[in-house]
Amino acid sequence: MEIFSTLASILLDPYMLLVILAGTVGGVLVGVLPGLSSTMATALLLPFTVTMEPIPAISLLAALYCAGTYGGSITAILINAPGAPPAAATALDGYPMAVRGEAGRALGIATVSSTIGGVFSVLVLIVAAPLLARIAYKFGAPEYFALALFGLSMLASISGKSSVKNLIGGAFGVLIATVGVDFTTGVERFTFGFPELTEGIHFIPVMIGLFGGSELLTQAASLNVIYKRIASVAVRLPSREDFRKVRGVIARSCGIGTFIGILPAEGGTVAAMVAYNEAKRWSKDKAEFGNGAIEGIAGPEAANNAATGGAMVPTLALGIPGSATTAVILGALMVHGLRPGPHLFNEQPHLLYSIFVAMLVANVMFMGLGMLGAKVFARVTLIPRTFLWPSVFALAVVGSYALTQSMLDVWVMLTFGLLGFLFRRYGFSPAPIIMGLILGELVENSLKQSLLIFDHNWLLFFERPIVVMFFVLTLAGLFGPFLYQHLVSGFMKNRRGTLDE
Amino acid sequence: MSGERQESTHGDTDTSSPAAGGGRWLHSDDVAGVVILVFVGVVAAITTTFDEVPAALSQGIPPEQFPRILVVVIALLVVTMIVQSRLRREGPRKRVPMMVLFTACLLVVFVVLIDWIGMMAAMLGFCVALPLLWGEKRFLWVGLYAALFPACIYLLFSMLLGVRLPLGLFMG
Repeated sequence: MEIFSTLASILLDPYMLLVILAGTVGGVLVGVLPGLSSTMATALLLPFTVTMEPIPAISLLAALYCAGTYGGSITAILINAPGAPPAAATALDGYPMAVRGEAGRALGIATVSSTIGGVFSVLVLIVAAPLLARIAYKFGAPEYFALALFGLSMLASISGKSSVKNLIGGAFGVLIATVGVDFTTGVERFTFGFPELTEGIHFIPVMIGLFGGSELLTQAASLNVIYKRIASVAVRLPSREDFRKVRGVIARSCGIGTFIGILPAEGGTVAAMVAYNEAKRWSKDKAEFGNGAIEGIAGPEAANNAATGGAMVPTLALGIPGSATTAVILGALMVHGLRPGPHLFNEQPHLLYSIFVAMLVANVMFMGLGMLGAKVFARVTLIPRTFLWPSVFALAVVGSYALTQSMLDVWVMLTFGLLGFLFRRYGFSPAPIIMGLILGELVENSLKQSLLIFDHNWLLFFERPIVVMFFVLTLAGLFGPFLYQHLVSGFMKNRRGTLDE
Repeated sequence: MSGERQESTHGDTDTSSPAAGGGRWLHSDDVAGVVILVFVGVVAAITTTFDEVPAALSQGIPPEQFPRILVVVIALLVVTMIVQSRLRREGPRKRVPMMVLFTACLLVVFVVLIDWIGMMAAMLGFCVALPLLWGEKRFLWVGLYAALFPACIYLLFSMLLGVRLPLGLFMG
């Protein structure tokens, strides 16, 4: 019942409504702008929220996360450049619809599907997170070690074509997390005499650099890209016939998105791609896909927004980020002195219910904003890159500095910005590094605690059923993508052989 | 297909065309792999310089062990990556435009200048230099932007959030 009282208290609190509205508008804006993602925006915004109370601060970031995922669909449909990676699948059918003069219809379907997906996943979050937390409350250090290992193994499937690179990125992130004083022995590691490094490398400048700095350099490499804009018309609510055509797709995609979101490290991009494939697989008119099928918009949009609530489940209940953006939100919780995980449900129930409500309200708000203002939001893409990106980097510098008022953090941000560009160039995604950095401390500390409990007998790990279950899932996470690729190539060979015959 | 910009999962190489560059001896992942192996080698060497653990605290895992485990894991993954890249045909690598290099240099200069002339003066210079470097020709707009944006940052961070921005060697 607390959820209803929290809902009422937030709806009656003008300050909280303003904070959620600011997060929603900001989210749609960054979602609309190609290159700016909700992950980068939450990382840039995090230093501003340090001075706020925890509830409005986390609500602001959560609202930005929900709305940022939706915002990407507007540019995906109107300029064929997804504003955010989760909207990449939306462009496949959204842009052809816009080209043939149905931009309003496409935007309407995207807005309604996104809202349904988002609201559904928040409802799942409200039910599932406390249940998961209740189970996780019984976890000891060995279970947490196995869980964190499982979370890292899931990095292998963030992007199916470069599983090994994702795992290298994750391990590199864990290695960065070892910088500083070792908590059991007090020995300094990789501090090189800098007193600022004794507490480790702060993950916020790393995040800002990897997402913001590296994207600026990527933009510098593509200054000659010109976006062809389709004039946007008024957004139309889906007709009864359209809704009848996509309701099954939306229902399936809500389930797919929420499930994939709940898996550690998997976010909206994977969910949208899977939902698009499923929408196509179930469709009677597969040839229409890629040429402007409304199911091709409804599926990925419902799924990527459903993944937002799903990704918050392990983030809040277990302290394991469900996606790159929730890794930033997890960091924000820690910056505010909160301990993400099952204890949060006992210690800060009001904060959690406020996050749930903020996400619910943000989903409803972006529907209103999208229906009324998509035309206006689309104009944001007219901001010249020559002014937008210097502003982003200047904010990155000041944001990194403001956290601890140390220039070392600015240098860390710059270093990871330059490194991030090189990583991207060689096919390494920045998200696994962040995941590794966030989970690094948990992996090492829980391993050390477990071995102390087990008196250095590694075999005792296998006497705990939950640990064994997570180890099996870890193996599945590590080898699943390779097995999947092998099966797919085998299937394609067989199919080609059958066709030749 | 204007306006389309998709990020390749294999970096800036064309791996789709089997004909392109099939006979290349050095793959792009080889370069990345060698750099990472050198890096983890240096990390492993640094772990030998960690302080000795006092006897009273030496019952757990020694502080150098966990980083060493990670070094081994990364090295094994890098070898897997190199082997995988050998099984894949790879097209020619796109050159990094000089603009990226110039932009990167400008970012470094900006951060170096913060220590010398302070955050606000360095930001003002950066807000003029980067738009001009990127080909912005509307000089009046550049001037207005360079004057207003740092002022807004100052108001927000210094006045509202109470952050003491660096003043630099001369002002400080």
